[in-house]
Amino acid sequence: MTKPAGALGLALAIASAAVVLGLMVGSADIEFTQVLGHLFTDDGSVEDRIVDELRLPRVLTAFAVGGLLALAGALMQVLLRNPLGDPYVLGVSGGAAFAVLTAMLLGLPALWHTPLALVGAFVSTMLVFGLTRHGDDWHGDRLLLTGVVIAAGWSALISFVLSVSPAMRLPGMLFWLMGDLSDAAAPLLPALALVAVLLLAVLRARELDIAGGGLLQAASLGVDTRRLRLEIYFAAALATAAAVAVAGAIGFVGLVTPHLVRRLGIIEHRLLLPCAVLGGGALLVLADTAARTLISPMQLPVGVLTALIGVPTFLALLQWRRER
Amino acid sequence: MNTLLSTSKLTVSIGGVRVCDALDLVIDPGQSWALLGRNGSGKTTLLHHLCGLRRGHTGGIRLLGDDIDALPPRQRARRVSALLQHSERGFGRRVIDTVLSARHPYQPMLAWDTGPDLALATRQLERLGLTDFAQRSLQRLSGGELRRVEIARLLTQDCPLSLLDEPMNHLDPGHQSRVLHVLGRQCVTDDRAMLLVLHDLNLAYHSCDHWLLLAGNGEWLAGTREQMADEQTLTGVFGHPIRRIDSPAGPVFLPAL
Repeated sequence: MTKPAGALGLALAIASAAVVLGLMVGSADIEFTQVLGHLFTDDGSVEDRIVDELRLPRVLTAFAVGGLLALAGALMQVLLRNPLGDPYVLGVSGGAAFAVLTAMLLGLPALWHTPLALVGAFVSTMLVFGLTRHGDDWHGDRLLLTGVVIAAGWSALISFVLSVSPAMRLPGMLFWLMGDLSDAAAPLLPALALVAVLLLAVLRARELDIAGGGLLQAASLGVDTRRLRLEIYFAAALATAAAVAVAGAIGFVGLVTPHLVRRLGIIEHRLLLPCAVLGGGALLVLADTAARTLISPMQLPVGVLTALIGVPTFLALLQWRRER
Repeated sequence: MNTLLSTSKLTVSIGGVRVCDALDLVIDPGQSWALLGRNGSGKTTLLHHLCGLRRGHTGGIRLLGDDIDALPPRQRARRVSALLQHSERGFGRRVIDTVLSARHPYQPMLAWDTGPDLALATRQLERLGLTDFAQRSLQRLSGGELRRVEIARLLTQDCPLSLLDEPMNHLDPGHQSRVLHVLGRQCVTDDRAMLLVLHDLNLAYHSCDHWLLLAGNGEWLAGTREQMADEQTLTGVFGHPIRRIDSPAGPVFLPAL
């Protein structure tokens, strides 16, 4: 088996296992063979409805959101050539989260959350872009610093919104802010966004490979770096906004997943991007399964679990790199 | 004979430093140019302008007859290749993939690397003594090995004009000689030329037949090395006494210690 086929096969296997596990585990545990049966046939039983109407939409939503976050992280890491690349660190998530929280404070219907998250993410993106002109930023440091500072600004605005919010609304807002999939059962929008951004990114895979070795070098090899920078940043913003609108602010998936994939020796983006999507999806499905079962019948915000899994994973990766 | 690069009244400045005032430079096929000048005189900046990576100059730069700023990036990258001063290791791609990326300007968007591309890249790695490194990650190369990989990539880009910013960085004397030999054979032919930013006047004399000197205040001198390489000119350009000693093996340049 060639290396690309092997890597993609492994990622697909992990993703499928995570999805099946997510369908099996819950307040009513369902056997592996039965889950498959319920997926493909309809016998009208309670278990059938649990799988088809409750768990499947939630698992698919978690998968799409995880894939979007991993994809956004992978793209931003190329842009910055820095392991800190993540929609969080660059303030894109912050802009989207601020917009949605403001909508919650004003009591706007949930229908508004997605377009507002988009607006927030793009406003943040344009701020960062407007403040780092092309050509000033061959090394990504300025972009990273600008993003970090803008993220801090969003964080302050989010605290402001929370502190003026009525006590009644506060728990829901906090839960959402920590990343929450408990109301998420609409996989269509994040899945569409995932497919669109993945397609765009894979079309640019070779340019991303080259840009990973420095933007000035990439320009000398004939990459239109001005266009590529803009495309990457807006694609990452779209992915982030779609994820935040559905599931709130979930950290660490975007930071950790691309690194995990690179650790396996997958560097070329035409392979790294699909593997990161599958890995990020699997990670979030597993985290969400744990979030709804660990202290069942209560649910934890999934963002707490991704951070709890992400922090030791990332630290272990860093140690491993040092030992090699 | 088609001129590869010509500038007319090119004026470049950066951060308050006049790099060149009204530079008229013509690089024809078969020539090898050395770009010399003291630290901070703007050699790297000028090189970036000459290969279209920086804009904001006055005057024109024509690359094989066309205005360089009007050329689409991919077409430009088929005409001029650049070795940059600083290396980046990125995310640790393999050496062979890095070298193959030089074929980007010739490949359609979704094409995999073709057999001829791979053969060309492999041949350049072999010329620079890097055959055994092809599958290695960039993260696991020494500074000199990385420099040679970048030179192999520049050769794989296969352009009529090559601009190299301090190509000798990190190279030991044996590899300096090998690289200069390969560059002379590959980049200076009936239809090709190169320009090297160098600091070693002896290397510059032996590897380049034309010199472009930047004084650091906008003044410049360009011509054959015999017109440029006298003590008085060099001492003026570098602001430091430089002696020329003629030996049977050619002249040797010694800065006063």
